Amino acid sequence: MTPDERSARLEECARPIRAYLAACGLPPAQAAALARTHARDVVDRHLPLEQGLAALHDRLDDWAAPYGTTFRDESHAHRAARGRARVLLAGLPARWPSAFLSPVLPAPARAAISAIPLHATPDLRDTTSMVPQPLDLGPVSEVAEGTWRTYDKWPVLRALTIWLLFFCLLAAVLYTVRF
Amino acid sequence: MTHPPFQPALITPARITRRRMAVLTFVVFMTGLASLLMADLLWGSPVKGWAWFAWGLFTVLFLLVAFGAAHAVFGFMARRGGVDGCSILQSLPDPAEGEVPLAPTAIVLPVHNEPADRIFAGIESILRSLARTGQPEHFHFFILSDSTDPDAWVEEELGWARLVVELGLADRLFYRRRRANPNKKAGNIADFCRRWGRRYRYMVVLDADSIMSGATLVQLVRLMERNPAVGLIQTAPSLIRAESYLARTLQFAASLYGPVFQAGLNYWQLGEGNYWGHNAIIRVGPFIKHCALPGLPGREPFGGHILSHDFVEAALLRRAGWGVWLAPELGGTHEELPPTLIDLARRDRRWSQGNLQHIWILFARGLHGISRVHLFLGVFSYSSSLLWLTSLVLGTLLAIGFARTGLTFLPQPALADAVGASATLQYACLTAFTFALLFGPKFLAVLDLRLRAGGLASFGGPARLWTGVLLEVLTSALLAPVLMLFHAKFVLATLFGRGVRWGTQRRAGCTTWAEAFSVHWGHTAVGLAWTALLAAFAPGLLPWMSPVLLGLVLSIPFSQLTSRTSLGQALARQGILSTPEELTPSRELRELAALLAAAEAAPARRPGFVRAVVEPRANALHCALQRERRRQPAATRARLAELAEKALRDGPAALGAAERNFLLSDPVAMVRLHRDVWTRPPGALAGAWREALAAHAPPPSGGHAADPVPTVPASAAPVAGAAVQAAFRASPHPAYLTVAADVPAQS
Repeated sequence: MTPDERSARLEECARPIRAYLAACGLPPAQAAALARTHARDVVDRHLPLEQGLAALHDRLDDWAAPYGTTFRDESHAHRAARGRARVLLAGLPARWPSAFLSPVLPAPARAAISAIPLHATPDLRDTTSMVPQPLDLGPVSEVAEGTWRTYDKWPVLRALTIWLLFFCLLAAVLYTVRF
Repeated sequence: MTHPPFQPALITPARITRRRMAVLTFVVFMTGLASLLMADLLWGSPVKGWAWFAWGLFTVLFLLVAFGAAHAVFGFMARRGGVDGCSILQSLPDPAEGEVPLAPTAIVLPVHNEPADRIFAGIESILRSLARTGQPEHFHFFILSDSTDPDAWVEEELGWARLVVELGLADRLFYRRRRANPNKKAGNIADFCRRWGRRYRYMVVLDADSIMSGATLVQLVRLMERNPAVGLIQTAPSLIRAESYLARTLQFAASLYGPVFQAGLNYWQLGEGNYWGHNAIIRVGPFIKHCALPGLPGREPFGGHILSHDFVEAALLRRAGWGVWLAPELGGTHEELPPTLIDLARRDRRWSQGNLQHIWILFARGLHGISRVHLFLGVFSYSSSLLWLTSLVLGTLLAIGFARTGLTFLPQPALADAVGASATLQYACLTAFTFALLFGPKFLAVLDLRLRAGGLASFGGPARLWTGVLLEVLTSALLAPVLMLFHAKFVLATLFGRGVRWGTQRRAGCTTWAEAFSVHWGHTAVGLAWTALLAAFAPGLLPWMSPVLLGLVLSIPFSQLTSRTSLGQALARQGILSTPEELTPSRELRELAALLAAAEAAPARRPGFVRAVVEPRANALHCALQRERRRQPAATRARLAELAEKALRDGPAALGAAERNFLLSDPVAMVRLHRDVWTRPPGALAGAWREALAAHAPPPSGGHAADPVPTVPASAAPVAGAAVQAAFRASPHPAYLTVAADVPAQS
C-alpha cells in the first residue's frame, strides 16, 4: 500500500467516525483526532473500513454502560444506551472533551452526569386503585337498554318498528289534510 | 371594615332556591309571553296539527333563548353589585390576615399527538410564572401522553428532556406515555391517579393548549384548602392566540360576552357547578374514589366508554356530596380554539356524540337535580339544532300552504286587537322580542364593560369595540345556519349508530377552496334549493328567511375566507376584534409568544422517528426511557428484525405508524437500528437515511454539524431559564411530597 493509498483509506475510514463524534457533540478538533486514532487501527490491521465506526460504538457502549446501571436483568445494549443518554444529555463531549471515553472523569462531569434523570416518571410505590362504582342508570335507561338489546337480537322487530313509525307519520299527514 | 369571607358550606338552601327560582321565573315569564303571542298567531291556521307542532317547537327553542338571556341578565346584576357575594373567590380571607398554606399539587397535561413545540412552550411559560410566585415547591408537572404518532412521541420525549436539563427539573417535571390508550382522555387521567394520585391532594388538569399563571395556580390551591368540602373548581379560561378571522371573532365574542354569562351561570349553579374537562383544580382523593367512569350499556356510539367524561365526573363528585364551583372572576387562565369553521365542526362532532351519550346518565339514580340540568343542557345544546331545522322546515311548509290556499297567515281577530293594534304589529312585536332576547345579552355585556373603569379602553376604545361587535354579529348570523346543519347531521349520525374517531384538534392552518367545497357543497345546495322553493311558492317568507338562507348559500366562501389568517391579522393591526389579552398581554402570554416565535425561527427538524434512529442523543434518550422486555418471543424478535431491515432498505416512510411505534417501543431494536444506520455502506441505505446522515457530516472546515438536541450548556444554565432554575432549586420539596397524601393505598 502506497502512502497515498493509506492516507486515502485512513480518511475514508475516519470520515464517518468524525461525523458520528460530531453528532455526539464533540468539538471538531477532538473528533478529528479520535477518529484518526480509530481509523489508523483499522487500516493498520487491514480490517474492513466500516469496522472503524463499529469499534467506536463498542468502545462507547463499554465506556458509558456503567453510568446507566440502574436495573437488574438489563441487557448490555440497554444499559449502554442509558449511560449514553446521561453522558450526551449532560453535554460531556462538548463541556469536557478530554474526558470523553476516558476512564476517569472530573468531579463536575460526574455530577453533571448523575443529575440527568433516567426515569421520566416517579416510582410506583404509592399506587392506588380506582375502580368504577356501579352506576344505577334508572328505569328509563334500563328500558332503553332492554329495547336496544331486543332490537339487536331481532332485526325484524327493528324493521317492524320503523315501518310502524312510518305509517303513523302517513296517518298524521292524512289526518291533517283531510280532517 | 372588611366583609367576612364567603363560606360556601354555610350558604343556606333557601338562598340557593331563591336564586334558582328567580332565574326560572324570568325564563318562564319570557317564554310564556312569547309562547302566548305565537299561539295566538297560529290560532287561525287551517292545519291545526302541524301548527301546534310548530308552536311546541317554537316554545322549546324559545325556552333555550330565554335561558341564555337569563344568564346575561342575572350575570349583569351580579357584576353590578360589585362581585357576587356567593363567589368561591370571596372565600379567601384578606391576605393581611395570613395566607392559606398550600398543599401538594400535580399539574397534569394529557396530550394526544399535539405539536411538541406548543406543549413545551406552554409548560415553560407556566413554570416561569410559577417560579415567580416564590412557591413552586408545591407543584409537580406530569405530561400524560396518549400519542399514537411515532414522530410526536419522540418529539415529546425530546421536549421533556430539554426542559428537564435546561431548567434542572428532574424531580418535578415528568413524562409518561401509555402504550395503549383505553378510555382515551378519561382513562389517561385515571391511569395517572392510580399510579401517582396518592401523592397529591390536588391536581390541576390542563389541555395541551392551556395556559395558567402561577398566581392563579397558587390561588386555586388556596381556595381548595380553604374550602375542604369543595371537590372541584372550574376556572373560566379566556381564549387566546387566535389568528384566523373566524377564530378571532369567536375569541372576541368570548372575551366580551363571556364574563357576564359566566357570572350568570355561577349565580344559579353555585356549588352544583360543572366541569369543562380542563383548566380546573380537582381534589384527588374524592376523584379517585367516585369518578372512575363505568362503561355505558350498549355499543358505540351511544354505549361503550364515556366520551364527554367531564360532565359525568362533576355529577359523580356532586352525588358524593362534594361541591363543584365555577370561579368566573379568576383571571390568568387561558386556552386556544380551532382556527377554521371545519375544525370547529370536527370538534363539535366529538362533543355532540359525547353529549348525546349523557342521555343514559340523565336518569341515573342519586344524581343531584342540577347535575341532571347540566347533562340535559349538554344533550340539548346539539339536538336543539335539529329542532331548529325542523321548525324552519315546518314554517316553510306552513307558509307554502298558506300561500297556495290564499289564506292569510295573520289571525282575525288577534290578541293585539284588544289594545287597538293589528295582528301585523303583534307579529312584529314577537319578532322584536325574540331579537331582543338574542341580542340583548350582547348589549348588556357591552354595558357592563362601559360601566367598568377602563372597560372600553381594554378593547381598544369604543369605535373599535362597536366595529368588532358589528362584525361579530354579522359573522355569527352567517355561521349559525351552517352550524345548525352540521349539528343536525351529527345528531342524526349518532342516532343511526355512526361513531367518531379520536382525532387530534388542528390548531393552525387555513381551509383551501377544495376543502371548503367538499365539506360545504351540501349546505350550499340546501340553501339554493330552499331559496328556489320559497321564491316559487311563498316569496313573502323569503326576506324573513334570508339570514338563514344567506348563511347556507355563502357557506363555501364564508368557510374559506374566515379561515384566512391574513384577514384576521389585517384586522388585528387595526385593533379590531382585539381582546384585552391581546392588547395588554400578561407576562405569561408574552413569554409564550416569545418561546413559540423562537421555536418557529429554529431550523426545520426531521421527523421524530428519523431523529430517534439517527441522532445519537435522541436515540440514547429514547432507548433509555423504554422498558426492556428480556423474555421476548422469538416471533417478536424476528418481526422487529424484519421491520428494522425494511426501514433501512426502503426508508422510514415504508413503515406504517403502528410499525414505527412497534420498533420505537423496543430499546434494543432501536439501539441496533441506530448502529446499523451509521455503520452500513451508504448504498445499502434508503435515501431518507443518507440525507439525515449527511446533515451530521462535519463541514470540510472542521466546524460543528448541526444538532438541535439540547444538553446542559457550559454555563450551567441558559440565561433565560436561570431564574426558573434558581427558583426551583431554592425551594426544595416539602416533606409531604415524599409521603402519601389522603388517598387509600391499593388493596
